[in-house]
Amino acid sequence: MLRTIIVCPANWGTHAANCRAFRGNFLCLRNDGSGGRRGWSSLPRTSKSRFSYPEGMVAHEDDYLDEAQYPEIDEETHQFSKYQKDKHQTMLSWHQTIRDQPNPEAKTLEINMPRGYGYRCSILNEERFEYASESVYKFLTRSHLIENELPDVYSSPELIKEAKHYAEKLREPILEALNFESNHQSRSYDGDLEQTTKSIDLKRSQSIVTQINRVILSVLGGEVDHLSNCQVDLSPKIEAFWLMGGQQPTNRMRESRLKLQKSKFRKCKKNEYDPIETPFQYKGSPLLQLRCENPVNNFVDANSPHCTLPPNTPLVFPYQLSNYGIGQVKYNFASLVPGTWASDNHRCSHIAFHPRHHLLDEAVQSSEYWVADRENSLASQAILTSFGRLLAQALYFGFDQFTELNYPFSSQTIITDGLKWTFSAYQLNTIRLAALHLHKNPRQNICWKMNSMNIFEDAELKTINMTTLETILKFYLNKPKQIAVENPTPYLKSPLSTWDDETRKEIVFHNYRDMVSQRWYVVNYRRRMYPEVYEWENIYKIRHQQRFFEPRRRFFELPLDFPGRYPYDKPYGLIDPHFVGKRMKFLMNELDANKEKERIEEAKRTQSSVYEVEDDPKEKRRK
Amino acid sequence: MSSRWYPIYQKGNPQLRVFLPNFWMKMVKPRVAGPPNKVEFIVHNGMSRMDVVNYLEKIYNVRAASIRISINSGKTKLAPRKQYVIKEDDFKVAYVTLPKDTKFEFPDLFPAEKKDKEIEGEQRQLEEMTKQKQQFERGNHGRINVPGWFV
Repeated sequence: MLRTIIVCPANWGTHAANCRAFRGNFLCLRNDGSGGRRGWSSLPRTSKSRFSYPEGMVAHEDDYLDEAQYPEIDEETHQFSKYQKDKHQTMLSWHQTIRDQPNPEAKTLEINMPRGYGYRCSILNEERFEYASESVYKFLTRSHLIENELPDVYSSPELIKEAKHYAEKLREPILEALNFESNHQSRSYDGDLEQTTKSIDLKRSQSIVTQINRVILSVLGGEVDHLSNCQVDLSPKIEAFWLMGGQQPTNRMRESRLKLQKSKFRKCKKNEYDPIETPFQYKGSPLLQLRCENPVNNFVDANSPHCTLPPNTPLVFPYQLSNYGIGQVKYNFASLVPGTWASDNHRCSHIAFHPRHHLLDEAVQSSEYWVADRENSLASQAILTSFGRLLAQALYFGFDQFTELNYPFSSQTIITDGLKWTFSAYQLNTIRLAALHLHKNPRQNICWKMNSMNIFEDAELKTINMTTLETILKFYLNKPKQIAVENPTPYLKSPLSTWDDETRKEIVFHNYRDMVSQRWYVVNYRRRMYPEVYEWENIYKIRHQQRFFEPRRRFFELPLDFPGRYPYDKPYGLIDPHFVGKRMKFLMNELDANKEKERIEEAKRTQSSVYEVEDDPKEKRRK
Repeated sequence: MSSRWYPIYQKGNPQLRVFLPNFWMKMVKPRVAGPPNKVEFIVHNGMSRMDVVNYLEKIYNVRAASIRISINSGKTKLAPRKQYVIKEDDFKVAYVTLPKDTKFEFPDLFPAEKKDKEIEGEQRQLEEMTKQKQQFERGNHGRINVPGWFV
């Protein structure tokens, strides 16, 4: 006869007593009238009905209403198991902690807390844009491209009038500057055989753009308000990080999902082709950036039809991004930097000049189709750079990826090598692109882009094309407008420099600095390098188990629940900047003791009975 | 033979021509599903990007928009019936992107219907014979080369 082993609460009694209750059949009745199975709780019941309140609780009339009020059922989450609900809750509370941080430095620190070694990001830069890859960049940034058109602002009569007025003034100086740069001047890269056409073009563009900007600002800076009070950056660092959902799973992931589906004991809730979320890090550097205190006026109202995603657009990108040359995965801490640090007042980018040296890449030049496709490469560049810059700018206003923007941001981009100019404008309406929010997000961003124009009208490079010059000036003269919202930074409280909490301030500053510079060393030892699996271990321990006689001490050989088994999930360990180790403390104490001795001996030698009391060396060091 | 050592080009030399090259290209099904204008080849290890482009253009009149080449290392495996690890040879893969409007789909070489018909016939016998052989080998592991009397 089978004995059933009953699991019961610890306070209920001995195992023998439990077994006594179940002697015989299962349907025994207990003294208080409840069924045997339900009689585990030790609370006495006052009434015989099953649904009665425990002792001491009284029902109030306000608890009852005529109509039943059911809580909302979220379609996705109400079918979750407890494990999935907990996971979902931790994610939401993580989003909330990011929202609660008072300044952008603390926010980036919080975004990086789940990963001690950094995220495995795909790095996006401006070095090369693959053939026919503009659809990828449009998907990754949720942008809609409007070709060969600029927003209506640039055809307003006042702006045109102003631009024509200044274009006449600036025609001669700009012609001079361009001639100076294009004519043969001896440069540092002349005769240097290691320089390629691409790198030479980059350096040339840098010098031409700085000269043109100098000429324009020398005239406009005195007369226009927002340009007299603007800041100019030369090759600033612009970095943006975002988590993007809707990506195809890798082959390995698909195979493991199929295996799980066939296994008897573990359930796989995911289908083979369910999309995944991957982090992206944009690292770029424009030739020149102009920053003002107020942002560029939004080109289009937030409720207009262009700003909403058209129906039936696919929310999953159908192919893996390695097909388009975007696969380089690197351990990288999330950094969002729009060219300045957060304490700067001028935090709105007005114009940014970008180089077009990627068109001179060897691979691009070797294929005539790719060369003919240059307008699409420039479009992808315009989309990527504008989005990255505005995303980082949004963080400095307190809006992170998990908290939607309250109002749109806009910016202007010019892609040029000095002779050919491509103008584009971008409006950022949404940054909610993580897997949780992607399918609920109805908005999209917009990019306007004109085809490339020459600055010279003729082949002899003597007369300037006035339309190009006027468009450049329109971009400069486009007046920025103060944000028309009561509280433009609802999620920012106190900047880092004036933060009350002194200890947290120092910790945040030092750790933020380490993260953004991607430091893999701390003091003298490597702390941030991902633990390496050697190639021989890959072959003789992982793929083919040939070293079964060796003790399992490496991290990938540990049992599944042991700490350290999954270093990727290890959270970030904050470093206290004032921490001094035991050995160091001991040495410092020794030094102080030696100094004391020396002073005493010197005093004895000079036979002075009283020696001057100096500052305690320990306190001196702390200052 | 294009995989020989031939003289380094110096400025002023005539165009070097190679006759009867031993370059080859093998089309394979893409391991990672890509857009319809993408084709994947395994090529001779000595071919460069320009060699692949010229091969396709001159012999098959197929113009390629862009090519990416990667050398992949061969798989490791345990030597059959031995306890050491051996490795297959490394191979070079060329990922060719055709111009935007062209489409190419890798054909389905083993459709399901044909498989069933063939198995009904002689293939089944063959399968049974190989199974028996494997069973025999498993039972007599280590003395397969030995004459029949000992087995």
